Amino acid sequence: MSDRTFANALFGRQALVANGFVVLIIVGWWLTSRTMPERIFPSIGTIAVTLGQFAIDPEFWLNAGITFGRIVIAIVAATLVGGLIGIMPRYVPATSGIVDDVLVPFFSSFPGLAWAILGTVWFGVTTQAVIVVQFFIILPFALVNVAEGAKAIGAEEVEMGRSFTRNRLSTFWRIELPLLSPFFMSAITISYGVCWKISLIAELFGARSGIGYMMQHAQDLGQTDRILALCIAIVIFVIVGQRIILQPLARLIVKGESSGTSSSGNG
Amino acid sequence: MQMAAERLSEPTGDDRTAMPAGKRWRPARRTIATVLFIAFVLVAWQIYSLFVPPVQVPSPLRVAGRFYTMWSDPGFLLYAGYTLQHVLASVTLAFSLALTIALLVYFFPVLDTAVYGRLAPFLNSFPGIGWAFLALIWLGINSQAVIFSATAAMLPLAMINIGAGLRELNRETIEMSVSFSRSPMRRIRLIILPMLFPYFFASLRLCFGVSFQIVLIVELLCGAKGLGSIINFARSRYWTDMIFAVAILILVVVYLVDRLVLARMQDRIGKVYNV
Repeated sequence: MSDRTFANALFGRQALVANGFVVLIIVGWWLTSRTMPERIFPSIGTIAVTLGQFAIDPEFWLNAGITFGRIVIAIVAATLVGGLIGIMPRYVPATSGIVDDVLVPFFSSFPGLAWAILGTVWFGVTTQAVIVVQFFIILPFALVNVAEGAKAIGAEEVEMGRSFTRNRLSTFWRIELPLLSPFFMSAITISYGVCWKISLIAELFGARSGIGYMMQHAQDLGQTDRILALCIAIVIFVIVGQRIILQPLARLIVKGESSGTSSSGNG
Repeated sequence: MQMAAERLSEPTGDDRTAMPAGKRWRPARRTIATVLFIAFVLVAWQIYSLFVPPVQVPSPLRVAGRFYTMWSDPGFLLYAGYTLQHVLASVTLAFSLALTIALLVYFFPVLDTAVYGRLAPFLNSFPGIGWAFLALIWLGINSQAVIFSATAAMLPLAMINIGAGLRELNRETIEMSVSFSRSPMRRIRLIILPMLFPYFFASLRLCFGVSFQIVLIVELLCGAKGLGSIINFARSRYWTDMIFAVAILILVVVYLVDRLVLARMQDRIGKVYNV
């Protein structure tokens, strides 16, 4: 970043207003917290101290790690299953009605809360219950993205690939999958953000560990500062995960896809 | 004139069905596959339910019976009405707030980073359950708590969608409108809002589906009247068929409102404004 861009990012008009807005929110919160009991509206200082305690608390990191592990498993499973179902109409056109008119509306509209309770009825208070609930809630994101991607990817590239080889697996692996990868990536990005939020629902009913369990415990004891600190921790995990893992991965995929396209174009 | 010509050139429903004889099998095959799939799922569900207790998997017939008895009872319908009321109130509030914020950013671009760089990402990552717990502490067990937390959870969705719509507005049309009137309110009412309709309806349809999900959770956690509290009641008594009956009602309502009301309104308004 050049000096000028850096200065603009810090002291440009928009940046000044944005930072002023954050300061305004903090001051507003501080003033409100002075007029209300600490148990109902904790001060910024109390929330910051609780967040700091979390940072050095091994139990918090253990629970956060457990939640993160469950999220990763659910995202991988939902992306694989949703992807497989989503591309099915491309190869078996008769199944397009099943995907578009039955599975997508069903999984998109079925209440997450009902999955959470059915998960505990079917699997008890276990990690499997949490993963199954997360899987069903984020499945429509992968399903819709990949199904739309499968409709959108260019027929010309696939046609060209078939002129080189009759091996359908090779065409799929070398042409269709790279073309579908941005749609998979989009599904993963959406699922990651959603999963952190919905993991709380799943863990609230179906687990004795994880951030959701910690939040339920804080709610039972009326610890508003812990609830707010946990929410802020989730915001941090979502933003950091998207910046550190998902955005570089998306750039890598787009780069790989464009280099693949250009090399195939040159060839 | 051009619009009329374009409309005339668009295929009508009758034109679509009047396909060459060789092509007719395609939609029919798709429909048959869909019906067979649904029948297969129902039969498999019925057979599986014979081998497990109804607490775990109630049979489709049992669920259908519960669905009929529940939704012909005015008491349960009243609870469904409360949920619908919460959904409508929170969607209206979230939309009004989001539209106001997005228009403020549109007319004062200096706020862009504050809203789309700070506020929207924060609210978008903030968990809905967090809002539910905070609403419970701040507002108590009542409808306001449900509406507050559902509105807070939906606000970033509506804000980001309407903001995207405003960014995509045709600059030339806006410039032309400035040459006709200096009144921002007239420009908003006659030019900006009609051009925003596609984005507006897209986010409205998205929010309507999402709002049911959030409202149910908040009703359950806050203990306010609504379908969420019925699910909680069913959970405490292990009446799984009742949970299915509530879920199916929501599926039907969301599907019907989305396809029969919102999609048709979007289509009709889109045609009126040629967007």
